[in-house]
Amino acid sequence: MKIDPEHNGKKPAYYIGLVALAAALVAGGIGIKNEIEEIKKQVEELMVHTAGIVSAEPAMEAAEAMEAVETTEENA
Amino acid sequence: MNLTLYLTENCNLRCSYCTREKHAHDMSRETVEKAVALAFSRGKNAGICFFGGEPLLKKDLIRYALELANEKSCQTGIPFRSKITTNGTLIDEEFASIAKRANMQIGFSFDGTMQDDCRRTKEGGATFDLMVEKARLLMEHGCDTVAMCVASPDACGKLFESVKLVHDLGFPQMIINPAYGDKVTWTDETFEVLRGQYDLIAGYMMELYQKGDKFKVAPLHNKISELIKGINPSKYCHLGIRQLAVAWDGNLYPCTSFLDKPEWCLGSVYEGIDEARRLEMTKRCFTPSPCKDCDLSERCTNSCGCANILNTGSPDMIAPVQCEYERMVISLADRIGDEMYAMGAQRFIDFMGI
Repeated sequence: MKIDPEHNGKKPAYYIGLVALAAALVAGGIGIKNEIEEIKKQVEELMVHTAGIVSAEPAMEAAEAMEAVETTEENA
Repeated sequence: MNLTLYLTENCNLRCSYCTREKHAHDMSRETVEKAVALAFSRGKNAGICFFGGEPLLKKDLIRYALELANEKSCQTGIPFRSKITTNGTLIDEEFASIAKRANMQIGFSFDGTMQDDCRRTKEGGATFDLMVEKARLLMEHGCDTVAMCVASPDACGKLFESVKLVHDLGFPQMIINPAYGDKVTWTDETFEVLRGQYDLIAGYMMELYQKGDKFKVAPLHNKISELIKGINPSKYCHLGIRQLAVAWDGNLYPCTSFLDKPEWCLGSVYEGIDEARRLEMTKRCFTPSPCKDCDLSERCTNSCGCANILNTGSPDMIAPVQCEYERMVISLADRIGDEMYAMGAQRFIDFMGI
């Protein structure tokens, strides 16, 4: 037994999936606009507080919506 | 504010891993009165946890504290919650009814099939059959009860069957803690036994999840939900910041683990809180230095001063066994979290109460 700090930085798949779901909610709710900062802010809030009201999509599908957010950011 | 009342230093059991010294010191009614007044003197909520020793040796004080607190709550409009941590052997119909009426949360210390290995009476008598009877009584009364199980190196080979027993008795949740402190010695071999038992428990959790059973086992479920929702600060004492322990004589400490350490005294219910010392404590960082750049630091109990002081004698130094244990349960929790999530996001969200 030893003290052995972790440094791999990896998040589990369920966490990544839920963040994607929250992002999908934001993207779907306000439309894809050039309001990146607002989206980011809402993602941060919603990923914690309102993931429970997301109409559940499989994580992979939700991740597509996350990509849409990122694309919007790039375009902006 | 929240106070843990150490009603008595006496106990009717002699658990093999218990580090508490037993004395015939009981809290007086006057100290209970002062403590209840303190609980209602600040903050938007008042909470009292009855603790010991075995707090049910002082049922009269519990009844008295509840009466006073209910009166205060009516007078002030401040909501009041109560909890108890008990070895369960003295629970009876009357207490179960009181607890149900008061909506008291009961921490029922029960080691399942490991009970007679570790938790015997002071005369050496077995307690398993009695505890099963008491567990059924609490379930019949619909009391808000969580089973609290300690896994010790000598008996942890029975941990998995203990989890199944607790589930079968009808508990909605249980908390497993490894035995820490100078009464136990974990070796690589005994830790591997514990790891093997946790693997079995994880498999069992998945089996129950597939059946739609909501039974939860901490720390596995907590490690998942806390990563998603963030650690709920109300679940941790934060050493004197959110709650204080009241010793039998009325002295205040950051936690019950510090009651025999006068250097940690933060005042008394008679003279008030020593705010300067408390402020000093709030500024102190209890995260052990080896943990500060660990990716799991936020998900780990490394800053629990109580566990640290039990293991290392220092509130801000972690023991290798605790680090090993935390890494094991976080890894296992994430494994079953991923498996659960793969079975459907909404189901996972509902189960975790997100």
